[in-house]
Amino acid sequence: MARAQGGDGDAYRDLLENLAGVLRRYFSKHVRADDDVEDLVQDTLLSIHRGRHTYDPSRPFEPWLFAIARNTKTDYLRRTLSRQSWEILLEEQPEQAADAEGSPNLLSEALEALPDSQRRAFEHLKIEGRSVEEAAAIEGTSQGNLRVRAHRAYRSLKAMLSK
Amino acid sequence: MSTQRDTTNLLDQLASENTPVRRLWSPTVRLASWLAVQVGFAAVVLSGGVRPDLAAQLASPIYFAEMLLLSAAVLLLARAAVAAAIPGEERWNLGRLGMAAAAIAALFVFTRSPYTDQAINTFVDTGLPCATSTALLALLPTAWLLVAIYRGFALSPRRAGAIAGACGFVFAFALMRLLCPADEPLHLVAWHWVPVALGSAIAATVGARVLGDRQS
Repeated sequence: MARAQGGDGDAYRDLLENLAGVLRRYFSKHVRADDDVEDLVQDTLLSIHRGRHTYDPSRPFEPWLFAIARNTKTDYLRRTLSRQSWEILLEEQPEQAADAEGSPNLLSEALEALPDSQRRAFEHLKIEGRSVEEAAAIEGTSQGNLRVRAHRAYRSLKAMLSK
Repeated sequence: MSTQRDTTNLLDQLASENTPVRRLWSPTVRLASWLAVQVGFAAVVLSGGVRPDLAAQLASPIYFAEMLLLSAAVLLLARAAVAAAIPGEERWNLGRLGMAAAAIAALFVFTRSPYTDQAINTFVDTGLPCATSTALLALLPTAWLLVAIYRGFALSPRRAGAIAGACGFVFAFALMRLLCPADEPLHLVAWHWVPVALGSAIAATVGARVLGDRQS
């Protein structure tokens, strides 16, 4: 990791590949579906990438790694518990709210107020009708990450439209 | 649905994007730098004048114990806040201990002079400047900690924000105890402690929004 922090792309590639195997085994113990395991592995790798500057090479690597992995797993479990309900709401609520207010502009204004990454995730899924897989590919992120962004967008929209 | 092939593509992408990164300073160094700045800040603020009875108050064991508890709370909360930016290094117990020390210090207000009858106007007129000062004095220490956390990678953004806010506002409360001569319990609760609670809650929200968005 120290070499990766110094910008060594090959060392970083090797490290991430090793970590992917470790993470796959770790998540397989907690999650049944292979697809979900792969989503979790990808989310964790992305988090490792974003937080790689926080690792101190003078300290053990495992506590740092598994803190991120555990956090990803916790987020996943939380998402899984609420996914069904929010996905149903995602289908219904924003349109209903716009209709109820009698102003489609309200949704547009609320969308404009969202952070770019969340707005795009929401637009891909609910306005342009893309699948999670397609949208994630366009955004260059994992499907899990895209779902999180869409979820956050939905929550923000719900809050804004219910004012 | 993701496959192992997607993961391989992701690995390639991340490796190609890898650039040298500047490592985060250790929590100890970041705590020391925060502390140095805040001590300087406190010195500047206090050089403008302290409460007239400060010498007499410091001779009081209760006041002295209250200030010691507040100092301990600030240190514990600051340590927990800087550690919150590093996965696996979180020190939530220190944060909880800091909050407990602040809560005990809060109880000390009830050992002070008894309630006095005050016209509501007087109560508000004397209190509002205190609440405003508490908020202003908390800005620098809280913002500093939030930026320190932002530079890291907080896995629990809301909790990290709350601890940063609690630290900054307890610090401001402690400064106000050296500045404001009012010791009446109702004044201290309404105009000194309530801003601490509100400030911590706002910092938690800011943490959840700003630090959480950074991770997505």
